[in-house]
Amino acid sequence: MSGDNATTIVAAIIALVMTALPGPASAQEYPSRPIMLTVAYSPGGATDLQARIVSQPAADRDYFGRPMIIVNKPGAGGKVAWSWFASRAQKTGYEVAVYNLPHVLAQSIALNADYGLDTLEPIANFGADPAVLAVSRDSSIETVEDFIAHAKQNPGAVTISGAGLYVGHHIALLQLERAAEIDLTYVPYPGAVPALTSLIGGQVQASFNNLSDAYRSRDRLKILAVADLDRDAAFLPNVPTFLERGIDIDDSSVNFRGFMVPRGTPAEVTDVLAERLPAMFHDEGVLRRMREGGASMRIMGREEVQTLWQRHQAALEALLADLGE
Amino acid sequence: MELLQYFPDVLTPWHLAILSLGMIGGLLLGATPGLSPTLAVALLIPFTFNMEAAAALILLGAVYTGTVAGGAISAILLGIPGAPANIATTLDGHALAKRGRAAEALHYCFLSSFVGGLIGILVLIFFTPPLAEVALRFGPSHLFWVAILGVTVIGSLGSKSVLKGLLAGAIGLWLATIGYDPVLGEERFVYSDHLTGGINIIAALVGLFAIPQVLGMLEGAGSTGPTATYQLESHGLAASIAATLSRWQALAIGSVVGIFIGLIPGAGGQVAGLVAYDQARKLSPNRDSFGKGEPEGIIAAESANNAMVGPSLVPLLTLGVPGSPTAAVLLGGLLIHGLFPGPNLFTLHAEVTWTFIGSLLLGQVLMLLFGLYISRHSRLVMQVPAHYMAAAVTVLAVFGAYSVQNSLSDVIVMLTLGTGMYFAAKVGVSPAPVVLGIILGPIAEMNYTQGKLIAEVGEGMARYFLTGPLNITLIGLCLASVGYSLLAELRSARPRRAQA
Amino acid sequence: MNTDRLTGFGALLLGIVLYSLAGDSEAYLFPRFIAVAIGLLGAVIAAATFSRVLLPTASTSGAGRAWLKSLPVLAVFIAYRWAMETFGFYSSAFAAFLIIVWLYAPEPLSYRTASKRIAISAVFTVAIFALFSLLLRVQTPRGMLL
Repeated sequence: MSGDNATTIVAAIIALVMTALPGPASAQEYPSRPIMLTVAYSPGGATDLQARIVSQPAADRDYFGRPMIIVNKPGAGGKVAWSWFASRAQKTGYEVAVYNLPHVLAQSIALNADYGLDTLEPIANFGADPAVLAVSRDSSIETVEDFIAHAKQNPGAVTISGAGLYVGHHIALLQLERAAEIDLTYVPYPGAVPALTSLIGGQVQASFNNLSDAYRSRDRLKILAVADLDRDAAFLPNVPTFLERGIDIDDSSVNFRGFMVPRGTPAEVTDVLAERLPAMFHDEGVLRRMREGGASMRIMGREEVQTLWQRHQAALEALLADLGE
Repeated sequence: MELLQYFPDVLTPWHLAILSLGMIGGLLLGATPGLSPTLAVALLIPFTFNMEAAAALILLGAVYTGTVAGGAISAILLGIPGAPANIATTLDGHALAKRGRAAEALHYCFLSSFVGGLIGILVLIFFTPPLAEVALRFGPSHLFWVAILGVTVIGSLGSKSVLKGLLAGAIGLWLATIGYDPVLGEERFVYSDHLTGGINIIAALVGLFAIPQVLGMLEGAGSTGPTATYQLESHGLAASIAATLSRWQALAIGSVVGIFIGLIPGAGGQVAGLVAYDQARKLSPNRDSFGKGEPEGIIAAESANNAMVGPSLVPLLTLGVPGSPTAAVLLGGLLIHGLFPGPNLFTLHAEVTWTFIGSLLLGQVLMLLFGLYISRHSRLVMQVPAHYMAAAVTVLAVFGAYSVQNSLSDVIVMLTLGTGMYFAAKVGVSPAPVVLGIILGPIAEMNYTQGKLIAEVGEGMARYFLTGPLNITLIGLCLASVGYSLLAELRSARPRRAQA
Repeated sequence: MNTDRLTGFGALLLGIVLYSLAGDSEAYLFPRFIAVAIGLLGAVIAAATFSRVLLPTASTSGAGRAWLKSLPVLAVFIAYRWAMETFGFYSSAFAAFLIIVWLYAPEPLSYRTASKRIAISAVFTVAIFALFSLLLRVQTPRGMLL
């Protein structure tokens, strides 16, 4: 290669790289470039998959006209991503994140995390996955009442698995212990599927798990009750809620998933998101894919989801304060 | 037989094209230092969104198979394992390559990968239902003993001195405790924001192996030209085939160990290669040449790695429980197409499932063909001048560490651990036990703590951890492994003492 | 003092430091256990250097002063880590590649070798860009440049 040729190649490459650089940011209408969507869990997990499904039509002219690009930042049960998002994400509307409701607030309360209601602003909710109480198919327990009676006879000796600390399953367990005045032994697993497997394999006696995951394994389980305000009509219409059975467990443990921005993002940007996100979640393709994926949708707009966060913050503070000292 | 009924679906031009493309791409991605199979499969998931289910699974399966085999290429040529699974391959593969026998080492690697992979897939096809039940039996106490079995291998792994190997392993175990404890919810040793998420295993692997290699290459740079100053010998394929088959014990040990470890959910294929390597060495008459370029070492490690792929899909397809981190990502690929693991997969979705399994089988053949083709051109890599290779590996290591979780912290951890490892290597500590420690630490600790929670309200610690056929078998294996190491140590110490 | 003895005492010290860093809650059971193991192994290694029985290998004499040659590249690592966020991933990758090649190239500098090095660095950076940004769609943080 002669020197001159090399210089030409270098010049060509530099020119190529320059054209790939983003142009000067002009005051164009939002959004003028792709939006980053931070997911706090690994690719292939339930949160990641649902985020990919609901954000897929973003590039459509009807919604944002720009794609949403998923950035996975897993670690420490969501703490790594949310902590980064609350403190270091740009407040421009180009940095959006997926929240998992009881996790994000419960961690902020219980672990003194540096994120929470003051630093995060929810915009729209797309999914809800309630916690269900399940026992193995071979168990002699048939109903919630049986379960509570069994736990009262064996205080502290009933093991119950869930997907980690300060996630929906853990919250549901704390609520059940308080409401039924029983004492259970919680065994945290690194995810919902391993927690469910531990029940199927007979390692633990019961599990609080995702409705969607339990539904998929329903042949090997007995699902006793749903920790939500209403029954799940689509997947488990015959399983009662705890409330129906007179046990005071509300929807604090339901795993709500939706989009949020860091607080301080300008209103003209959040208005656009608040208007178009629910519309995008109602997209026919999104609804179909979510249904095929066995995930239930619960779409809420900005006002509704912000009320939800406020209500849950209060409920979780009360619950976790009881638990502490 | 259902497989035969659906096998023609694999042979449609579109499916064959995807399979070949995925396999070549997987081999090349796997061979790139810093890109692990888990990362490659995870990054490809979005691409499968708009494909039909069978094509999507064929692509993901091909990339999975390809990257696992491809990780051995950089392990052999550069001494940098593409994934934790390839660590054992590095020990003898790179030693052989440094003696100028890179092509031969790659032959052994791909031939044994093919044999192991094929056996693994056949196990998946014929024994899925009974094996799924076996996989379910593994609870916290058993997984704890599996991790301890891995720890017993640490000392003799790649280090010249057992004591230093154990020390390196202990440091790895300690590193793994940094971050947020998943069972008790406490933060440990988080002295910097960069450590909140703990030490990521892939970032650590890249740093511990690649950075010392870079610095080592540069130590020798300037005076010498190419990375390989040694002569490259050519080696006939027929001779390699004969040599591989004549080492059938190593092949058998590798395949059997790979199958069993692949089945155990969570313990993962990351340790299959290492355990197989260790067993093959203990049982081999050539045990003294292990670590110096012994073909049996490569054969045992690689047949185990690839034998694990099929069985790791057994708990995944039947129960939705992935047997390896990469299988966990594949689960996402299944769900997104509305394919829920369970018996339905083999009845309602039989067409997709059997086409996928068929493609895995054919994929093994393609992997062998493409792999052997790549082996012929290994000299291209070996002749890159050291300073260019060092620069390229540095940049790839940075990008690879970053891409795992889109985190700059991982890059910082990677560079820091790597630099530390470089100096530790100067006093005779090797990276393999450190990485093994980082892998096994969390498995041992988490299962111990979970087991303790369960045992204390039930049958008590001693009964829970020490009784039952599975516990006793695993404890027996641990004791045998330790006992054999001690015996070997004493046997080799005796003549030395006589000399002294 | 030979390097093995130094390693042994170093590990003993490390074990003591790690033990004292560990808190006393249940979560620190494992780290404390490991710290004890590190300290004990260090002590045994140090003791073995006096008896010459336990430690099979004679002291690895190290490669002498070879590590001095790696100091410039360690400086490059530190600068690279800083440049990633300031200038962007790809421009700093280009610079890091070029500087490492430049520092360690055996051939003397000439117009011809200089343009060759720049061209190879640029081609490599473009290849990295194609692999990570275009093919794998990894989102890298952007600095002032790309």
